Amino acid sequence: MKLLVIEDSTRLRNSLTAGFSRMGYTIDSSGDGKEGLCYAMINDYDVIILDLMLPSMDGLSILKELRDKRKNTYVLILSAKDKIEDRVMGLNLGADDYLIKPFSFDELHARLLTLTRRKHNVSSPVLTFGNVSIDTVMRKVSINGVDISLTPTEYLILEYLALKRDRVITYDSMINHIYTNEDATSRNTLEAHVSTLRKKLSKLNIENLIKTKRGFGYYLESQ
Amino acid sequence: MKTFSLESHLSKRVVFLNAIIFISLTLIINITVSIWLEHELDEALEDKANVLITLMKDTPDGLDFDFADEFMPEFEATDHTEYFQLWLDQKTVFERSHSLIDNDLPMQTKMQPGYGFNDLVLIDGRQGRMVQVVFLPQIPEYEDRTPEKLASQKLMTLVYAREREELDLLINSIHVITVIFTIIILFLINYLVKITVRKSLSPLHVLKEQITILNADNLKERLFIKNPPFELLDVIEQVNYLLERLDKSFYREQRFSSDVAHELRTPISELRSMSEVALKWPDDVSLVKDFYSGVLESSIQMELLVSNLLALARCDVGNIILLPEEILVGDTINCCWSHYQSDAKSKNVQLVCSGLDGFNIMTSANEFVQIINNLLSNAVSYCDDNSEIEIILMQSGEGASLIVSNITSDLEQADLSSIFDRLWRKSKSRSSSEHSGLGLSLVKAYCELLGLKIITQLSDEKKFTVRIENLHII
Repeated sequence: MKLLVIEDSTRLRNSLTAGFSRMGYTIDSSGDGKEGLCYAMINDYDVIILDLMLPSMDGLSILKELRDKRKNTYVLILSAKDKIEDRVMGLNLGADDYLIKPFSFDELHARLLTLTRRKHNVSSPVLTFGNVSIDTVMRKVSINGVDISLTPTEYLILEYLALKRDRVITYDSMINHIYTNEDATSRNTLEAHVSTLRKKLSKLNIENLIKTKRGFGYYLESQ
Repeated sequence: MKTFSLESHLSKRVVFLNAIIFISLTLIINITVSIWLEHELDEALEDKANVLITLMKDTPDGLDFDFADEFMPEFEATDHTEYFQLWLDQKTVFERSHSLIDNDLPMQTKMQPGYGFNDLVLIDGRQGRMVQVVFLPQIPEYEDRTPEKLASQKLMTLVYAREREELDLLINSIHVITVIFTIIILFLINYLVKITVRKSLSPLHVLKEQITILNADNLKERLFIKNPPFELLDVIEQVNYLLERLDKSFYREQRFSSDVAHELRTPISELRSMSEVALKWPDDVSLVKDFYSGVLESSIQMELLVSNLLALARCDVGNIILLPEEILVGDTINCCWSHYQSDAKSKNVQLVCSGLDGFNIMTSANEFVQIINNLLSNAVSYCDDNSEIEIILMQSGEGASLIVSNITSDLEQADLSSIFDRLWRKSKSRSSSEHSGLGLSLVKAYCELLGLKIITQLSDEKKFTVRIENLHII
């Protein structure tokens, strides 16, 4: 899952970035409204965590701009504004969720997962492919009930393919989704990660789960 | 509290007063008419009695009553019958009308000469009225009026009576008509008064309706009455003025609550988020170490906010003991400036002072230092890069004025009205964690405590000036 955090409080932004990146999420962050909007327009994020009171451009204007430009990225507003009219206005402008500060990190995480499931039209937090189960909450993969050890990047690749099953994911799309703006990532790096992931799966007799469409990208076929 | 309806009260009063006036007038008219009619009847009786008296003659042949029934048929008729009776010397019946048959009319024996009127029941049972006249019969021939004759003349008494039921019927009819008319008029007055009072008080009803629906959500509404009465003009103006003040107060209170919430919620969120993340990865030393300093910064930020709010609260209730002492203004400013020198240097901002030497003032040092600290802190934070902060101390009148000015491109003229508001910040994002928008509020509160006057100005060149007046020079 790739997230964008637009939050002007440096300490809060850093703690969210640290927490979610350690959970294996790909995170971009910005403390400025206009810069955040720029990130949101250029990249494809699963969810944008958006503060309302921001320097240079407020959160509602960013949200309106996104929706006006047909950018349908899921937006979760994270704000100290707790009035009903603020929440109604945010949701009416196109936000998908609204969380009031102070908040629980776990609740924010759960809401992000819910939005992601909604985005990919999945109702259960556990994605299953034959013997393979991907727990999106615990962020672990098990085969026949046995957990396998994956790096955060490998998990992200598998989860992303699973969420977009039966569709070919282009190399660029996958790179954009898995890596942050600051990571200078080439296709070779991605291929290396996929290769490692395939090896780990084949050790447990899961062959050919991740398929390659030459010249296009990867896909995961429902069994 | 006992309440009453103004409309009902006014209506009742006006109707009551009108009713009293009208009933009194009607009563007076009624009585006057009745008296007049009675008087007319009495005059008619008197006239008829006089006619009968003229028929009585005292001749040398004796008393002669020259009465002919055919000329006065009313004394014989069965309808509208009239009666008369004549006495000689108030004792002997001299003559009576045929209508009396053998009956007598009542006569008062002790009556003096003249006319006397009285009511009676006629022999046919009807109500009647009589006139009694004591008179001397006339002597037709002049030559017969000798002194002896005149001295020997005997008094005669005439009683003339006729029915009065027609008159009574007329008077009673007038009474009944008057009563009915009065009742109708009273109902009409009641109705018209109510309508008039209601219409006259309609601006009050409009005001009541407009005031009733006023609440915290629609304080922007103003009272409005088309063609307001003179008596309500001041009320409307005053209420609208109060509404405007209330609206501004509400807005400020809401903004203050919202700002406090934001100022507290953000550092609390930081603390909570950092704590939760650190607890999830307790072995990540670098992460936890980073968060320690973050927690400290958030705590200091909250502490500063709470301290400033408490200081303002103490100022509000006057719970601060002032200890006036002699202060060297130049030294105090230099001492305060040392805290902000490094920040000023990073923005290439210079402090330019003039007139500080030689001025000592008498004031409470602690509060004065807080004023200077807050002014310098704001000036350094919000002045443009590569600019100057100017401090001037000058004598004005019997006191001195301290002027602190700096160039602030972001500030607008309209901001000056809010600049002392608690938690007001130019930046709507409230991003800076170093300021909470309480600095100038504190400056103003301390100035008021110390009896100082504070004025702010913004020139066209964006030079923001804070002027503190009435400093007590020693």
